[in-house]
Amino acid sequence: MVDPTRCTGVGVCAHLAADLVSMDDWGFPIVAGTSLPGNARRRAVRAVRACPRSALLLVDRNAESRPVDEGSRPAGPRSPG
Amino acid sequence: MLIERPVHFIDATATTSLDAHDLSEHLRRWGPLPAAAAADRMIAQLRRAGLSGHGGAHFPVYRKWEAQLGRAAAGAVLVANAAEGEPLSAKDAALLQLRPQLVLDGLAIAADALGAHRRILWLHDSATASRAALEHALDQRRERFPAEPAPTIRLVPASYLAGESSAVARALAGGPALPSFQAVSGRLESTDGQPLIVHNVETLARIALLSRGIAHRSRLFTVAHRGLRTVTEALHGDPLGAVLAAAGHVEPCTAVLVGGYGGQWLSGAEASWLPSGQVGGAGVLLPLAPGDCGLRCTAAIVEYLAEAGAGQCGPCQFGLPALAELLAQLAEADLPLREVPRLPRMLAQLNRRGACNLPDGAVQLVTSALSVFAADVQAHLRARRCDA
Repeated sequence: MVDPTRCTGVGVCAHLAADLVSMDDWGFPIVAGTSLPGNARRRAVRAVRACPRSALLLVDRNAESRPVDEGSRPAGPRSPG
Repeated sequence: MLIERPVHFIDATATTSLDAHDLSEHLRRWGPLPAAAAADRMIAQLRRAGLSGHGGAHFPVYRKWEAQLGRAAAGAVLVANAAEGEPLSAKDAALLQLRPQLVLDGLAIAADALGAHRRILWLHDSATASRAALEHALDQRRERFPAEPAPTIRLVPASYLAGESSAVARALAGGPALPSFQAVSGRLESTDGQPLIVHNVETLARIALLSRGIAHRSRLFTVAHRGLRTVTEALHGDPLGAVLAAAGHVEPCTAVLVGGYGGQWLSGAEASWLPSGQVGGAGVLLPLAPGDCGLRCTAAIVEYLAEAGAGQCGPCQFGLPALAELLAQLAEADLPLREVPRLPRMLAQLNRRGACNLPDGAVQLVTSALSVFAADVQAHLRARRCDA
């Protein structure tokens, strides 16, 4: 899922995982909220890690939408906060 | 009923302060504050009564409580939310100015049951009459119930979003009162990981009544008409015309906006009965008079919503002004036909794309307007004229 408050529409995700991420008319990503089989999951992880805004999260829907891979999320303060 | 007769508002001040209950009157009318009940018993009671949140989202109250009691963290922060963002809504102001003790009862009962160690009253900084009524009520309570932990009043900027629950969480953590992204929904925290529960003040007043064994199914509504706002109480399923008439609106109307700026239009035929909670949002009713153009009204609201956004999420920041521009053109009957396909595309791209529900509300409003005012849309597009 996308944290829309962090995303500034850089677009790296749409390059790295074109089949999973599409762009809206304003250049912001729309991600498919579907489950990800092996290969797709690897691409998703790559996109999550590559986002310079740390705005992408991979969540496990079965575990109450808990983030499972925080990627390169910086340690500094973030919203909410 | 919470209020005996409809209450008119001039700006943010109720005109009928004579109906206000002070603490003695409150105790005479509703009886003494009930003894603290065990949380699981209260949850069963809340569930039986079918009480859902009266802030607009109508989430079942008992599920909020169950989630809270299932959390391991000790201590919690309970917020009584009176920062009604809907510009047309005045029901929370009516409660604070006329029945503040019911709200404070509900806050005390809920805080005790949930083990909340901090109680906060969340108020717009512009709500001076509500604040004065609340401070007077708190003074009376301090004298009568000296052992009761006193809640604090927190004033936030009078914006559309300052009462949104994730904005409450963010402001409590020292940030601005603006929505924050919640990867895990329904699990708010204030500072230091303390669980946060936000209840609308009408929800708390209903909890205070339930604890006394009074299970009303009624809700407060704000009728916006002729620049006035009137708060009235009614039951889901009451004839809508009677509710509007009770509030003083007796003119015919062609459609009614239900639920406020992020609500939806119902056509005159659909709007025979008061809508259910979900559809009713925070209970705003705006009748559209014959001669007024629903598309023009919708365009003005979307322009307001575009400006009310926090400017944090790209799709909303760019999409809402774009949507407002298209609707303004449609309202003025000068939207080129080739631009028409952009409307549904834009609505689809805006829906559920923000950290909060503001864009979703705009999408719901516009979708309903395009359907209810379909004949006007055709006249504006094809004949380039407004028949309203």
